[in-house]
Amino acid sequence: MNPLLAQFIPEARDLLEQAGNGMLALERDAGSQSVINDVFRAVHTLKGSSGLFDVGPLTRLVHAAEDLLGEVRTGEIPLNSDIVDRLLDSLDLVGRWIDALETREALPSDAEATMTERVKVLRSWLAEPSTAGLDRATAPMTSVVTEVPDWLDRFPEADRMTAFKALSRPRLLAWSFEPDEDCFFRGDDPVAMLRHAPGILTLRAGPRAPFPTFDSMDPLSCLLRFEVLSDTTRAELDEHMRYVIERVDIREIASADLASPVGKAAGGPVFGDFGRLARQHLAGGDRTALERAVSTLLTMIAPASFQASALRWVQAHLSCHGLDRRGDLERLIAAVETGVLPPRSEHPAATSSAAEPAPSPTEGEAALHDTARTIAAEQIKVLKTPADPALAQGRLEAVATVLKNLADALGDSHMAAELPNAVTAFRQTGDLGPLQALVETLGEQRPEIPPPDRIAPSAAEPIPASSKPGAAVDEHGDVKALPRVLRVDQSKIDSIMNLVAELIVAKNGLSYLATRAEQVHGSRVVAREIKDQFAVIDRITQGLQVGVMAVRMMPVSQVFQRFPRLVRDISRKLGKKIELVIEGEDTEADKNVLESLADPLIHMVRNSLDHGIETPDERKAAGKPEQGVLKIVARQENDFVVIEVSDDGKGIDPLRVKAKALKLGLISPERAEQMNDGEAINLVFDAGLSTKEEVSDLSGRGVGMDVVRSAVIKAGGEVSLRSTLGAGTLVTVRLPLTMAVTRIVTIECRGRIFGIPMDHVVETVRVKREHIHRIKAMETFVLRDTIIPIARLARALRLPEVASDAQRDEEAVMVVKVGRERVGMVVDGFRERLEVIVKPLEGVLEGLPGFSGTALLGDGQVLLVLDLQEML
Amino acid sequence: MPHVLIIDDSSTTRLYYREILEEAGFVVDEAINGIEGLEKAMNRSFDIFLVDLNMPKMDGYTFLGQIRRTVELEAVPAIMISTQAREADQVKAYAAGANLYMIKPVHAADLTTRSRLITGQGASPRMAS
Repeated sequence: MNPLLAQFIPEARDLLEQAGNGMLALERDAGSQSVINDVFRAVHTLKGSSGLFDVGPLTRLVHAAEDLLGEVRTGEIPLNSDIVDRLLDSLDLVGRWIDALETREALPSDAEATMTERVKVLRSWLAEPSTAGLDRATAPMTSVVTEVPDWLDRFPEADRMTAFKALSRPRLLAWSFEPDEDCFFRGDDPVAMLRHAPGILTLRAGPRAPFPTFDSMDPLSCLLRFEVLSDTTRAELDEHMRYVIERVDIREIASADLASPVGKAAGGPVFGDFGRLARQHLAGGDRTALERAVSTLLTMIAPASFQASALRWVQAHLSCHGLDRRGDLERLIAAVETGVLPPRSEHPAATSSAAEPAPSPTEGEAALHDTARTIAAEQIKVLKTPADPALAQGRLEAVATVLKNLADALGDSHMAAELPNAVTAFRQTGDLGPLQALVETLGEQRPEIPPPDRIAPSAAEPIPASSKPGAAVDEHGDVKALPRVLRVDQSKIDSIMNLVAELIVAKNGLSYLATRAEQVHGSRVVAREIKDQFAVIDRITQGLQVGVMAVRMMPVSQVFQRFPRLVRDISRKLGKKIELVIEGEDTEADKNVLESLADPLIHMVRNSLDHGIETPDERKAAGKPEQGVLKIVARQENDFVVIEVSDDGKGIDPLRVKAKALKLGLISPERAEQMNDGEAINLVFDAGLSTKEEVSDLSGRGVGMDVVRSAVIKAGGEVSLRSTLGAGTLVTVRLPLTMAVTRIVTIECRGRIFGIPMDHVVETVRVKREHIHRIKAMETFVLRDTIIPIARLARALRLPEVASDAQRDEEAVMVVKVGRERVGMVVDGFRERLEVIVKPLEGVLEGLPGFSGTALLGDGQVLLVLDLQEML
Repeated sequence: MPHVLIIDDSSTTRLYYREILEEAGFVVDEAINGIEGLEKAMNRSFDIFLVDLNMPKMDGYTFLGQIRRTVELEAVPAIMISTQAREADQVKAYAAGANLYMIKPVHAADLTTRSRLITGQGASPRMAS
């Protein structure tokens, strides 16, 4: 079943139950406003969501029930048990229809008839029972009438021509709408309904019959008829008008049907001459000559004549479609010649499909501009609507956001630049003029439409190699459709990614097999063959992994794009002057990694704005420029994406952090004594530590750097912080490009195997015992002129000492990088490198210190992966 | 990726919008009434709100009024979507702080185009990359 329908069925049952229970409660206590509100809302919600499905009778029945409940709610109609019975009956019926939807995904065949009868009963209580449209309501909704309506010519030529030029497809809908005479009593607003109808090109309103004399006219009954031309599909229009579909007559016509010349035919030899000449040009494909002939003749004849009208249509055709619509042009030329428009000879469908090219991107763009202008015009309307002063300022900000975004969407840099001034003008003087002027010209400075060769796949010029999927943005920021791109559901890619990850792990099993073949079964030949085969599979899986990864890569600009706005708003609120610098937006990373990065980044940026950068006065006093700089930089380092957020603010005071941590009991006094500044500053990552005494309403929502750290670690990354008091703070986040597979090195210690993430490993060395020196309590050795401290893994893991330790004359040392420090870790031996899926510690292992996760090895063993940062 | 918060008491309607908007490249979050909407809005930043009118506990007008009074949320565009097609409803929505008023049922293409334009994006959804 369609998932949307599957969602709807239980929801509908729930709402019916709520409504039913409410109705019963109402019968006992008819005065309870809150109960009647609940019932009304349940029915209202049901009507709204049923509108998403093709269940017209259900929607209309619920609509009638809602109307009746609405009257009861406002007290227009007193509730009696008769009404309650009828409403409950109707709700029961709807319940049965929902059952039918569940089993057959359709309403019972008699639904339409049953609905008509029920609706009649429900509406009989309403102020003016309306039965006018019900006879026609049973007519099938989808009958397509292609006959051209006789009222089409009543649209002025100019309106039809504007519609003709604005059309985005070869066919359009000509439809009329006669609202129910009682519609005002049911809260319907036909004008609003028309205003929101899809794709309106032009519209006429008038009396459906001559108006009655003034004395006998009832101003409260609707006697209007609307005639409309819409550039939309039949299905869309049906759906929009579904509540009143029986009052609508829809015809689908060809755009050429609009080109019907009007006026009184003139006579004379000049028209015959024109016809011969025009046909010659048409046959010769000479558009310019034809256009010249048309405009010459137009200057000579009466503009109101039939021929002038036909000539204007020839011009419209030429300017919209060139010589493409030859058949239509010939008809119009014949009309000029003879004073009568010949009937269209070809089958309508043939003209439309053969002569009409598919809408080009340019036309799509035009429609987009129109929608954008409509939205912009609504913003002016919003501002003209009086509002509570407490929210007027906020509303203006929202309008400014919308207008700015529209300008961005259309690449209208003029509007984007002028907007702040116009908004200020309105805020200060209430003058809408500048804003209105901007809105009217929205998109007029639109960027050049790219030449077709940038869009068409058949272009001779290849797309530059540098154009990555994420880089399909032109210099105006417009996103252009790339040719031959597949849109794929992310879950499909994810499941492939998971399979690849499993494959990589399964592949590791082959090397165990090779070892077993050699050691257990004594077959070196088989072992070698397995190893050869392993190499092949290894290469293929790597290729596969790189390929799938590439599909999931997205530029970090996806995450960065919200920052300019965020920084502007917050700095304005805090009264700070801040310049935002963003670098490396094109850096790419896995989609999941980026998503996990979004929230920590916002926290980091907010911290910088709130606690880092000082107010202009403070900055001046400290001898810095008034404007602070917040810098967000992204770059790729090997298999990591590195994001740095830095500011030139006041930095973090290590003494204050230390004092606070001491006060809160996060560290012991001895530890505080030993700590250097860098370590003290990194205490901000501890939960519950904030150096700012009063909690700000920006970053003080109980989340801080500890949240950043845990989010980053969860994504398999690390975060570090450097700060110089008075000069600024730099937070660096390193995240793996992908979260799926981790490369690790395995080592042996006391007969156990442990994993270390490859990115921590600097090198492995063997160090002679006499080269290990003691400095105070610490063992060290020298590696290429650098003193490296030594840590013994067995000791760190509290594994038992063994006698052989003291006798070894050489130690296996793995030099690892922890943060920016290097440490030599003494282990018992080095083992192989592996690619594994590291799973977080779960169940009894959860919270085990010193380990970051587990991985399943090819032979079924579970490997513990060390968390060096925590251990050393 | 732009973030959208859908506030509607109908789970079907929320699912309908979610499918359309995810297709159009939005990250979607949902709330079942105005109060839950405010809670979500306070705790993560959104680029646009889609707000139903009639909801239990807190209706769409109240929700809009609240966000327009809150400095951190005031500038986030909002579309109100309702089954009520009267001019007066639209005026009320604009007075409460909506930027656009749409009538249910909303067409997928209309919702996509308007949401994308209002969040500063061009026509075609960015390809899934």
